[in-house]
Amino acid sequence: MEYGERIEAGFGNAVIKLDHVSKTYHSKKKDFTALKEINIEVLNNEFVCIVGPSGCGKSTLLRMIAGLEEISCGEILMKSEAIKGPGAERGMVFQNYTLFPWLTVAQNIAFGLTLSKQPKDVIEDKVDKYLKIIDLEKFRNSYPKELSGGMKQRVAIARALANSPEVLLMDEPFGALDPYTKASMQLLVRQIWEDEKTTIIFITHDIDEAIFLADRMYILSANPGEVRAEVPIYLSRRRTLDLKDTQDFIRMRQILSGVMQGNRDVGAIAEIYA
Amino acid sequence: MLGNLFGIRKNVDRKTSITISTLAFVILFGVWSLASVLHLADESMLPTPWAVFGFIIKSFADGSIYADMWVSIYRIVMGFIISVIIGVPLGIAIGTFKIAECIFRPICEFVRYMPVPAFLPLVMMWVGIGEEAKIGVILLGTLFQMILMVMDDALLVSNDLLNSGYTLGANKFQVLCKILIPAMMPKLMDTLRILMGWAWTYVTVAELVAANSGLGYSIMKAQRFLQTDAVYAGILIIGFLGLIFDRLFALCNKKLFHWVEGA
Ligand SMILES: Nc1ncnc2c1ncn2[C@@H]1O[C@H](COP(=O)(O)OP(=O)(O)OP(=O)(O)O)[C@@H](O)[C@H]1O
Ligand SMILES: [Mg+2]
Repeated sequence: MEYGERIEAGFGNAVIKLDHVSKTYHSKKKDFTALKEINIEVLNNEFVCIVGPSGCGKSTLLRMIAGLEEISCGEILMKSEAIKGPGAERGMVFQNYTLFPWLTVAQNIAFGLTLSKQPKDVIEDKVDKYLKIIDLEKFRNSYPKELSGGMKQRVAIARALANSPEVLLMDEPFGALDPYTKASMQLLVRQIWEDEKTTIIFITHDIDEAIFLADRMYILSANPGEVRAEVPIYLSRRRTLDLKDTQDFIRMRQILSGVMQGNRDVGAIAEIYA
Repeated sequence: MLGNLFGIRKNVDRKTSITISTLAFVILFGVWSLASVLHLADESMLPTPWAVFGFIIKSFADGSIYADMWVSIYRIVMGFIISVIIGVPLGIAIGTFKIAECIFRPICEFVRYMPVPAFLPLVMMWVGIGEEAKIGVILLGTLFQMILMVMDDALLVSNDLLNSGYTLGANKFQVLCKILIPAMMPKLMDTLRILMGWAWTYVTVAELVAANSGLGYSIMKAQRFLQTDAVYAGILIIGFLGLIFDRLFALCNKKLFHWVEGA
């Protein structure tokens, strides 16, 4: 099924649906609307990126989906049921490093599984599997302090995936990495997404990253955070790094970064597939 | 290289830093020796270092110090353990649950500024001058500080660490026991180490005022007989013992918490 048809077929049965969601922070001086009337739908096995300038409320949005932050207005549904709090079905990789420093890499990956009291051999198999996927088998018994930033985020991804979440939420997980590491991590995530058939909501302020990863992206604008545009990305399903040098990609980046920064009209998006 | 000694957060090699530290001690010792030899102060005020160290060595050699030493150590350990048993859980609760914070925090903040030695007469009225009095003073002196410092340690655990627990399916209880408490452990042990130092101060205060045994008491007794070298010796022994306890704590922490980042 072509991507466009998949969207048609899938609409109305979104895994995650944000219905007129707003977020207001109250302080003594004045109220601050971080997010306003957000409508977003994410389908099963879709890779959706949410991009926007720094401070537009991307983290807030993702934390609300995770159930870590209260919603001021509107509703977030997971498979038609309102989200009430955090849960294992929505795994998350955070913007900052959040590995448990007192546990080894293997124990970190096993954390969710030990919480739900899985049998030992199941845990071990899963740990082995994900250590292999993130290519850190040699660091199985290392502690987080012995890992580089990129390695830490790889373990964080493995820790979230080992728990078999239905939706994986990723909040600028590669924001602090150098460009080379970042590129290889993007490839890894896209690969994992293809193999594992999970649904991913990925947050970034890097338009390049978003185009490379996403099936579909939402561009947010700041002050207040609103959905400025929704853009399907019709690129081949299997993506390699040389994609970033193709004419299509470069043109798309030009137009979309213009839209994101507000120097271009939303109508410009139509030019992409014209 | 030596310019680094005066640079902000610059490092010098280990040898240089140890040499300088040793030198500082040698100078201190030298000034003391000189002052006492030249009789800059009356001998009954300032005995020579060798008289003091001679006294320390003698009291260890003939065993006269041990009884007092063990008694002081016993009091400290008891007072400290009781303080930990009450203070650590309460501190964690205050740093974690709003309800505990509302109830206990204002009280602790208030009590901790009350001068502990001023409680001594009260403590003696309540429990007499037995062991309970000394242990009570240590408890009063360390407990309220401990509660608030442990609270701070609990508050220092990052929200994202707790949140990643929730998104991995942990419930409230699991986040508390499997994330918050292990995460704060290194800081907690450091807090206990610092409070151990305080406990030495309070046991001495208690023994100076209301005791007939212990290192503090031995200092008091020596002062009565104008044995200044014994007074100095007592103070130094307390200092050394405190230092040994401190180093033991530090060593344990280093072994137990090898995983701490940036260590
Ligand atoms: N607890 C809070 N109280 C008040 N304002 C907040 C709070 N948390 C976030 N904000 C505000 O909400 C806005 C959105 O914050 P958020 O962290 O979601 O931005 P972001 O898009 O993730 O930014 P970045 O790309 O820098 O991570 C910011 O302007 C911030 O100041
Ligand atoms: Mg953010």
